Amino acid sequence: MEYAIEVENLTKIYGDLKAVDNISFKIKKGEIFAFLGPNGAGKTTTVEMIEGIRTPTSGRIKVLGYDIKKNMKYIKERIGVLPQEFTSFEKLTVRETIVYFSRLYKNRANIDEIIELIDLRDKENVMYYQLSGGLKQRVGVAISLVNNPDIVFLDEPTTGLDPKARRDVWHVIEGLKKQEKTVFLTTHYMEEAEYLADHIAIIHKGKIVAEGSLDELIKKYGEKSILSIKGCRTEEVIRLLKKFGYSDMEAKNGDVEIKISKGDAVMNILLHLKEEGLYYREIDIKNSDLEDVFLNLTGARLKEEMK
Amino acid sequence: MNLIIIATDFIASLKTYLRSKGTLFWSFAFPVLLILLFGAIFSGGGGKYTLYVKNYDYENGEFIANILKNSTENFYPIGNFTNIYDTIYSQFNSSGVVRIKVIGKDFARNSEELDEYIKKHKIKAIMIIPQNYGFKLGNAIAKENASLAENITLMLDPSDAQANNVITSVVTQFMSQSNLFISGGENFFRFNTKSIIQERYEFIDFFVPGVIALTVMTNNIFGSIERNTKYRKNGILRKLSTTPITRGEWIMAKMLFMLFLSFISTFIILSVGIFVWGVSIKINIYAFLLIISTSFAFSGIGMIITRFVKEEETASSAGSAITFPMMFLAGTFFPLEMMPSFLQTIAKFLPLYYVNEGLRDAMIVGDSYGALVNTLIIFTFAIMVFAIGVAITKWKED
Repeated sequence: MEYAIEVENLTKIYGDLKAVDNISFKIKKGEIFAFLGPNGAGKTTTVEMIEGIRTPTSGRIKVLGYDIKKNMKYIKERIGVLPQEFTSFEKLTVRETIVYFSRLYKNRANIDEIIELIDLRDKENVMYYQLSGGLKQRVGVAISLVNNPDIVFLDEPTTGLDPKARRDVWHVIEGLKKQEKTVFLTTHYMEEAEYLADHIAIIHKGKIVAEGSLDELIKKYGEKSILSIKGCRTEEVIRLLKKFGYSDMEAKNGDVEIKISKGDAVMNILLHLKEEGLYYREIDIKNSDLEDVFLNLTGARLKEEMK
Repeated sequence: MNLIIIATDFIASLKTYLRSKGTLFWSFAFPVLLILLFGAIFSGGGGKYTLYVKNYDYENGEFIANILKNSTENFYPIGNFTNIYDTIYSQFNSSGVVRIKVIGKDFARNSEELDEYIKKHKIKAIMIIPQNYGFKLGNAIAKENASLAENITLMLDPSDAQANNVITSVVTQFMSQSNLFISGGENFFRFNTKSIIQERYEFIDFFVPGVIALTVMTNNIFGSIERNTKYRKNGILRKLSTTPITRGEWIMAKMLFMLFLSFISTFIILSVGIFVWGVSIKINIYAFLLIISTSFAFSGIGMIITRFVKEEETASSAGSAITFPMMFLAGTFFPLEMMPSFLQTIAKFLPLYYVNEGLRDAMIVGDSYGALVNTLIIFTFAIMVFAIGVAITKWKED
């Protein structure tokens, strides 16, 4: 059994709206899978159908090889879920919260190990409502681990967090990979998918528009990287590089911008400049990212609003 | 049903509850405060209890007083009075807590007239001295045989426990002192007690069951509104639906906790009623059934509200819009007889009316038939609304 999750032709229709439109994908065991897309793309609807919270209009879902229609009771024991915008019981302490959820399962992980793993030791006796947003999300991740699950679903775990708190949650998620858990992450932050995911599916208006590893996606749908050679004699530089077969170049007030596709092109170009003794003030490399990928695929921007 | 899961949720509910000062206030301190306040406002009188006296032997009192005055052994001091009974009345009055009110000789001339008189004047405590009491007492003292003396009868309304305690202790004290004077303790003076069944009760007797009904109603309706709106918004219901706990187990755990809360509230309110205001309570099976049915009925109503109103604040307002008028219209704080007849008709359509009436029948009046009828009404209503509530409350999203 190679796949943790298999989704086939999954569709969810609300009235006239196809929230999820005939999507299929597979998630390998032990990988971090990121479901990337803007708000309203259908991420949460999809993940909640897999978790059994919503019922699909049509399609088939298998979790750990079991069809969720027949085996949800068994599957519940083996998955851990952090729902979107989750807030736990306000007047229970961190430890009490973890213990509460732990007792709902037959299979219970060691609570101290979870507290250690999520780095909540010095907060374990603090009431949940007194925690910061980042800590609340970490508690949310902690309670999704109480049954020692094979798959952990994290639905927008860092939405609304400041950069420092976001990084802390990322470290926790990286820790889950070391525990050989499969992680299903939904996010609308491309940096999050770039940083964490082994495998990324980009969803837009209910459809998966692209799928693959970060490198694969950028190679296939991204822009070329741009090397800027700043503060140089532009004409000489362009002449030289043309000699070595570079063509996609542009001069801009003393800078030269070259579109390159391979990583080692940078080294070669710098080498040629050195051999010719051509001076430059600084260089800058701008790599293509998922934002470019998304823009190229959909014509829309991922960050529709910057807060 | 998994008992560990149910117990876990019950304990979490209890912890959360005890840590929420606001809810604690509304479910315990507020009803207690209501009872203390209203009890103080409506407990009439300056602390003296009226003891009526019907003396069928008053005419002989003067004769006996003369004998006592002229006897060489001055064993019974009768003071400045010319009638032995006036001496006794004055001793009662001087206790400071009992006021003697003598029924004149032309009223209540026999036992039937007396019953009528007690009913008509809503008398709660009366002392009856039979004819020729004085002579028989004198005879008994002369022959040194206490069994020849007659009993004085004390009739008391059992619903007013505090008054009864005071009056009984004053009478007992008077008699044991007199017995000491005469014989060194033998029971020449003695009394037996009978109950007066009065249909009218003190305001506080009326009020305590009303406050219990009110508290159980609000705890359950707002408890279930909070669970179904806040927990839905916070994602707790979504989270729980991905864990092994079933909806049935969860509802069971919450209802067990709500019942626990209902009984604790009832116990506290009753304790204040009994120990502070001397309300006399009859506990029977109907009181239990009523409180259980009431908890289910209003939890069900809360569930139904939250099926249509999803926002916590709006749902709470909807809850208030239902409970607040009901509180006044269903005869919680004052008897329905005080209200215009169309309002009395409206009351018959309110579930809280039957809870109020049922609790009063069960706990205060001791009317088992009335309690049974009201219990059945609320029980049926509870099954209906709770079943609807459970059926339409969904954990799953659409």
